[in-house]
Amino acid sequence: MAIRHLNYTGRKRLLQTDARFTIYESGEGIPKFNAELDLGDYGLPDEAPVVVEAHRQTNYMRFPFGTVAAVLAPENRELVEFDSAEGILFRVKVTSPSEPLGLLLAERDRIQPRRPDEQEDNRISLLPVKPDQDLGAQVFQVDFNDGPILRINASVGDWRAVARDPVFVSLVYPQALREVLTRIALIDGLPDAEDPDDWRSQWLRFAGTLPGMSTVPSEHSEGVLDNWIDEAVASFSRQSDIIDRFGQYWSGEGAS
Amino acid sequence: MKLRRLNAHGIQRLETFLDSLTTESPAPYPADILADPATSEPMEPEVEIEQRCFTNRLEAAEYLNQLLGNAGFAAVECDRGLWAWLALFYFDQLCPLDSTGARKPGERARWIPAIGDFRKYYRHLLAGPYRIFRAHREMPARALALLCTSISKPGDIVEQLASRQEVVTNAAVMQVATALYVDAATKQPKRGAAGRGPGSARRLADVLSQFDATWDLYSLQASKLLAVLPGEFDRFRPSES
Repeated sequence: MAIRHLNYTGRKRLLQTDARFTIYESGEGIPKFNAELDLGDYGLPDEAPVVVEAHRQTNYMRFPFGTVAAVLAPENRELVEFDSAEGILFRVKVTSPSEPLGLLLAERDRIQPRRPDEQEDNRISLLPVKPDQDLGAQVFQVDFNDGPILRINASVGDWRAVARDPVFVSLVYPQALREVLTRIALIDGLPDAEDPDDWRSQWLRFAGTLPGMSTVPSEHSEGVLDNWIDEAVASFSRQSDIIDRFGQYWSGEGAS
Repeated sequence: MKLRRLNAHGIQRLETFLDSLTTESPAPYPADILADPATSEPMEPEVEIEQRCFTNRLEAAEYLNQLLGNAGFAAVECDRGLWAWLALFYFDQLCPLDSTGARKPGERARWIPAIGDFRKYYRHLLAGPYRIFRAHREMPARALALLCTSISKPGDIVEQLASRQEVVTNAAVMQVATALYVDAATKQPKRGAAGRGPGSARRLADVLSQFDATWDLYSLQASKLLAVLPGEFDRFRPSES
């Protein structure tokens, strides 16, 4: 079971739409970023310091960004500690302006920056698909490092085509749905409260609105949740014509 | 020998070799793949690398930082082929014979870095210490808690602390971990620092994880952080504090 982080201090969670980042390569290949922060609607003290952190595994940089009332990006936003822009995430922190100093008043972590040529897209992909060099002999893996990602072995070549292939879709996606819902409901534990930005809440909402489904049961016994997951996968498979997609491929013995 | 990187075929050969070590008929050390153009490719610019005996992870990281830093290679940390080659080059040190005469290579991420996987990337036996050293290169001694063990057996402190990004990248936290868990005289981990007991590295990671939800840990000084740790850590506190 994952460790729960209790919010005793009333720390606010910044919305994704209020902390937008763009990343690009500057002249010498060094990544650089721009940030647009809207902190006016959170009731935070005007003089509370704002800090932006860039991080990726053991790489980390920290940038002072003024205060809530006067957000001010530093002139130098080069990410010199990072040798590429790939995989860099951002964190925004607003901390107490008076004692106790360092107390978090508001935060948003794991913000994925956009590239300058990417259009702003408000749609959320529940299961992003990415190539992966580290899968060895596995074709795919559902990775929960940072919300579920469907990783496809990069050695297969055109991994985007694989992700769209009817055989792959029919065999992998229902199982991926089952794995994600099992992770949320039976391994990590259901989220405490509805949070529109939390991937767990997004997946539960998705499953709960499939045809014939209802919201996740309030009775949290394993059998009830297991059954709810079964029904969600069955409904998803019906809605996505999974058996027909598989039939497009399989015409072997016994196929009707 | 000139430093090289394994290509896809070379990595496959390395994996086959590692797999064989857990069978009853382990394959011989495949030295040929280090230099064979079919399994490896040269690095540019050319760099000469030596077989050295490293007494701990810090020494290995220091040497690799000097070697790779001076060459000015791009995107070194993400270069799977390079780290796989290095692991094979230093194989004898990284995977010594045990008391039964066998070699136990352990999980694959120790040899071929799992670059994109934050649960495993730090486990590579050479890239792991190198990255920690790089993160604290202004004062590597503060990260000694993660660099003081042997390169073949990083140990539980590394597993508990290097896996948490907010720990491994934080100068004050690393200073605290080293003050708590490294014996100042012997430069070795203190007894009880590993494992699950009160005040252990595992407990420090859990406590810091809770602190991180409330405090901006990167703004805290090591002395302040040390002072607010609960009593279970008292047995590890340095006597002068």
